[in-house]
Amino acid sequence: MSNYTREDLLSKTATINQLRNCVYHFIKFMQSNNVKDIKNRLRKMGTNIAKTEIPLYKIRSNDPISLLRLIYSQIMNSKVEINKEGDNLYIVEDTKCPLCKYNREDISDAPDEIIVGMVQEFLKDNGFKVKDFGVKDSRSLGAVTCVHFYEFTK
Amino acid sequence: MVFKFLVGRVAKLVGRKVPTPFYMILYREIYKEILDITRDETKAARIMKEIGIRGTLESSQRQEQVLRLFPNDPKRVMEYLPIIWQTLFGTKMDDYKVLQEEVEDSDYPAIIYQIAKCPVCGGYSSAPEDTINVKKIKHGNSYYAAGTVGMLEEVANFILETRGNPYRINITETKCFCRGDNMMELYCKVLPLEKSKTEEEEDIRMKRPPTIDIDLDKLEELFTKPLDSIKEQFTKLVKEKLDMTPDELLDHFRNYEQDLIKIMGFLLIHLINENGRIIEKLVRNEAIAKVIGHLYKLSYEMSDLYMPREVIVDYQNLFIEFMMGLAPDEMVDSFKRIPAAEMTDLFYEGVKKALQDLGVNFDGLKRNIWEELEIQNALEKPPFESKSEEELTEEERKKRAEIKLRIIQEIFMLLNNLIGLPTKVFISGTHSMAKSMVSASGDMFTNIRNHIENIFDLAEQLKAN
Repeated sequence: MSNYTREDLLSKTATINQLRNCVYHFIKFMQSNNVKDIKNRLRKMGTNIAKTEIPLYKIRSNDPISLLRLIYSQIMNSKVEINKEGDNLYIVEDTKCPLCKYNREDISDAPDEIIVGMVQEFLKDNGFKVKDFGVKDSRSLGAVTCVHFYEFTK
Repeated sequence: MVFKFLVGRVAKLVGRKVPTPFYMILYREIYKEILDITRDETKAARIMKEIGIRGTLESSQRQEQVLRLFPNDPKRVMEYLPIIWQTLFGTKMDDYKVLQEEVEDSDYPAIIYQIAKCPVCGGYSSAPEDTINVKKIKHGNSYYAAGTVGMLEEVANFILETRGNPYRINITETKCFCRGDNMMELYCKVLPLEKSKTEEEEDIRMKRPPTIDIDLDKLEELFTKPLDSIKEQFTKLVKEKLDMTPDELLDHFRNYEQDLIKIMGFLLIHLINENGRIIEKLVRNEAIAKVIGHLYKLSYEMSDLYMPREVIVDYQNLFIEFMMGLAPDEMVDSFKRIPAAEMTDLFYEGVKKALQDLGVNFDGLKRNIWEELEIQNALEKPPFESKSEEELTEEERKKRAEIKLRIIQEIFMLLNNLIGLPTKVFISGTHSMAKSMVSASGDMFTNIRNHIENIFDLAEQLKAN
């Protein structure tokens, strides 16, 4: 008997509700174990996710807005709204973020840090130089929608 | 049947779906971080299982009313593991075998699931980032799927807790692809409550009165009253059966208003089906399943043509009026913001999902019903076995023409029934008589079935002539 390959799983979908709650409990676990720099750990997790997924998806685009839209939709099944501010700043709004739904009052960092860490790695893989990125708002931290930003170097 | 549909399908509709690789690689990263913190594979596996349990407990508490629909019997709950699996992961438990093993001093046998394909381990070790060595996990603990095992176990135990059952289920992953095994094996053991881990909150849950399964007759009764009475009956039913207010029930769907409309379309088909399982019986015949698929397509395409916009808007208003006072205000506002045309589309989407579940394969449909039934061929040229036009006697020629006419007549009758279906349903709804709606639809489906059968009989006769 041979198991699924990651390529086999590309066409399948999973319900993330329970795992979303697990991410919250995982952040609480880190907090209770006095783990330092949770935000960067979450971002590193995202980077690792991207490193494994990049060869699977082969997402390519020269246009930042198209590329961001492709990453959010293909990787997370998210339909996002993207606005450009100034020359190099892109604001991504996700009303149905896969990692956030409820306001979690007892966590310091948003689960979205995983997502922005992952997305910036995909952007880098497409040749973009990401100067800064992060989570502006998160439903997990009480906001109405999740808002992420990515700033490129000119 | 009803609870299978509720648990499996509604959860599917309400759940937030992501591509499986994102789910599984995120799972891996959580596991890796826990391992990095604990520096001990066995400890990491145990914490992973605990996190799975906690994350699922939270979801189970939110979906308690759906989970109460499961049977109050540990063995049966274990047998429903594939449904729980599907509910959690959104994908079917593929290619599995179930074994039983007698357990000494236990009232229940252990149930062993041998699963040939595991999405959790799927593709593991194919990337440099797959660094967890599950071979270091001590025997007796779950391995790579520890977190998901925790999720499955918690759903099973939550069901038993809420039903006041004195037993709990312990699930251990005893074989794992990541360990080099050729399958995933889940060993499910039933333990008396006192032997399983006990928490103070369990005592509180034990005191909850067990509820009974939803009776669909009550749903029909509910719709036999005018709007205010429906609201009253609906509130009573939700309080009696689910031990919560409609506001609390509908709050589960907050931010998922569109999905709720899909569920209504979905429920309508299942409700019709419950009346003698008529749709289920019909779709067992492949040809009829195809016709139903075409009926759906036609009805959807015709909805714009046959239903004036005002009527759709009126029904949307009626629906919003029904929701006012029952659902949270914020949710009612969301319903108001959905355009009437989108509501129709969502409703039809739910209908389509239900028909697919019952066996209608929309992907395999040809362009139109005529091609599907090969009626055009039958009318244009005689079938293979039959005589050519020249060989026919005058009487045979007359009979064949008569059959062709009858086929055309049946097709027209069939189309009338199809086109009339939404109208009947809506008119019945206007008169607040869902019971008549159900029976009208039942009659309608009987008529449709009769016409389809007639067409097939006539085609056979044509062949014989």
